[in-house]
Amino acid sequence: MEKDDANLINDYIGGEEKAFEVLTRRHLKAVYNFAYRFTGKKEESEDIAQETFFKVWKNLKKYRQGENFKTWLFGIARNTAIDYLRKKKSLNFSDFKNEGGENYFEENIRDPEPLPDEILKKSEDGELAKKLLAELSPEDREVIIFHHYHSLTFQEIADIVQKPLNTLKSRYRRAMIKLREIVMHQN
Amino acid sequence: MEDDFKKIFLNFKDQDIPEFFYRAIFSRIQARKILLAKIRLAVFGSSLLFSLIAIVPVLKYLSAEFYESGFYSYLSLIFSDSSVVFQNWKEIILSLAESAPILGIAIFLAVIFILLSSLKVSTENAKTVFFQTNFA
Repeated sequence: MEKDDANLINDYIGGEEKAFEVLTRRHLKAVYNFAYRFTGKKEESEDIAQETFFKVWKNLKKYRQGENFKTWLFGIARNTAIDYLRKKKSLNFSDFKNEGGENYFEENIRDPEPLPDEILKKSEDGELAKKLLAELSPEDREVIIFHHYHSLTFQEIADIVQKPLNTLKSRYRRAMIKLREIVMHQN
Repeated sequence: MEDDFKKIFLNFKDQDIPEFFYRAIFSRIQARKILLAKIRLAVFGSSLLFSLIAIVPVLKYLSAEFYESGFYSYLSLIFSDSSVVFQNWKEIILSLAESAPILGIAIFLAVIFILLSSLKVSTENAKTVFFQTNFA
């Protein structure tokens, strides 16, 4: 029977070397793909994913039993990605503003209308999704990635980015509105 | 609208991870483990060496203290006149405790502790440095 993440960590700390390998193989793909969608670049994603698991290994003893391992792991991955991009100057400190910063649209009533079919058809090769993510601010992008690609709840995302739950929900709503405006404008 | 974006996002599929990438991560961790093991081996290996060297003068000091105090005299009574010892065992024990070279014993035990701890840590880290296990 497959062991859960907390047991694998206990086993590794107890001296079972293979346990960390199992843990890495279980989660590396998710972390790599988070980094890839966040940065849009394969080489940077590889560096970020490698650095993330190196930090996970260094800090395993700090992991608290009972804590959600996925949120702990993605917290490290997210911070690693931000640090990496800041060092490469691909990210400005102002890209991560407090709530009420200038990058956000005014909150609107959610538009229930579906997108035109031709847009959905054009999106089949994945390029539209890549472009849309690239258009978003890093703060909006990470919420979309965590929610849509890693099925994390808003509470889990709030724990990762260390923001209040309502802030996350507002950020998500605004991101969706912005995405619609981008898509309709391009169309 | 959200369902439409879900469909759009789903088309941006997950990338697969090549096997060499896993090995790169494990190799980096293994390299760091070996580096840390070398540092610990250097530190604890030195303390092992110093404690081995220190054992000789500490033993000399302890035996000198042992002879200079009355401890040896009381102890030798047990072997020379055991009937006196059994009759006055309480006083003998108190006298032994009073005259024991405590400082010398404490220093000797401390050196032994450092020696054994250093030996344990050095052996563990020497295993890592010289008999490194690789991830599969």
